[in-house]
Amino acid sequence: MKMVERYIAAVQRELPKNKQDDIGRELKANILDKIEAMEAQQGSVTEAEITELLKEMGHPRSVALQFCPPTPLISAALMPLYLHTLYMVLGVLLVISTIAITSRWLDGAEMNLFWFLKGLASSFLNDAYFAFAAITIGFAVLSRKQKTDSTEAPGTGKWSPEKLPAAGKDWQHISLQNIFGDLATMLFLVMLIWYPIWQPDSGATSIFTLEAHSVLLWFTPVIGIAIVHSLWQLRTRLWNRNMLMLNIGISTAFFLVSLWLVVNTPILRIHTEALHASINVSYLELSIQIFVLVIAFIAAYEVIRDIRRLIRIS
Amino acid sequence: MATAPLDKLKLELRRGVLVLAVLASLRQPHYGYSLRKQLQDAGVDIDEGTLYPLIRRLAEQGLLDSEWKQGEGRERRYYQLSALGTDLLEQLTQEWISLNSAIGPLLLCKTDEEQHE
Repeated sequence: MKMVERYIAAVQRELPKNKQDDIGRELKANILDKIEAMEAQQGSVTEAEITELLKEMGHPRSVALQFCPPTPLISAALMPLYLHTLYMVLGVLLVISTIAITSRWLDGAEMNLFWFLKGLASSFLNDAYFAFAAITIGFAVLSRKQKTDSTEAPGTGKWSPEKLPAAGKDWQHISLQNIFGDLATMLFLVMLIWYPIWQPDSGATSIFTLEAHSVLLWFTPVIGIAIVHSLWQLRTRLWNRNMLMLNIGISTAFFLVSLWLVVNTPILRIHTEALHASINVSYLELSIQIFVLVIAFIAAYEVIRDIRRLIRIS
Repeated sequence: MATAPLDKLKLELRRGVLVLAVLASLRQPHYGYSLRKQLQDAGVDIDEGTLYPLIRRLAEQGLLDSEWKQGEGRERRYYQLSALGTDLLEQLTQEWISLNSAIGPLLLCKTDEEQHE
């Protein structure tokens, strides 16, 4: 019988405090009933048979889980809202981190791309850990408060089929990652172009050559439209005819400006005295040219892609 | 080859039916082991790992009343349908009968091809 006691104690250890006594008491009664039935059948029961019986019942942890199944941290009904909130907040944090780190990077004496990326990753991750923990804890508390019999997801109460967006292809749905990625890129560009003008006292000079900088200043309204467009996408989350046309316009402008920058080199101001002796200025300029050419190709690809989508949507 | 999906579907099919069988058996008071025996004798095989937590859950929902009683030198917890459980069992029985009469002919219905074979 000591083995039965030991088994029940092991099950109880895996149970919540308030249920240990009650379930343990009931489990003991059930096991003893079973042993009694075996004794009635065979006359007596050996220790080996009791061991076998307990093994058949399962590991103490499995038995405890059958009596008290674990409840998920976030209920299934709240999961879609949780994920949506998480992506939105992380997206906003990425944009804020980009602004903060770009400003710090432009303020610094050394404009090293590696330090910029490292700073951006570190700033974003620091905020993201906190946001992830806070949102998860908040939703966990909300899941506990929610009535157990409610399976309806929040925000799904009032709806009608007529108000749903028109059925479309998968590509019509705009992902949050794309929107926040675009927003962060555009804000980074604006800051890069306008920083010396915003902060004339800092003595900072533009990283672009005079000619490239003046073109980019004129290009800023297009970037502004792209930012507003991204913000609008957050609201609609679905490509439509007008949005595609606007995107074609923006991508075409990006393509033309990138191409102009490639043709009219140099793009960036390179301080030859700050460069390491092994770095060749012409190679560096060529690398920058190739980089901007890649941007032009991406913009051209987006123009073709959106024209095809526009034809399909028509 | 089809054992795994079959087992899963059988489990799903039995889940709701077992509640009905347990509630129906608990019109009379039973302790865990005697309930299992009664169900087994009636042809409903249910393992302890499913049955004992199930009766506790039904009791927590107020469908069963429970009471510890001393007998044959030791204690046992007896369960019996509560007033709420009796009411619910009646409604579930009606639901079962109506489902059974609707699904029965569907399951027995053969396609034209099968009939020609």
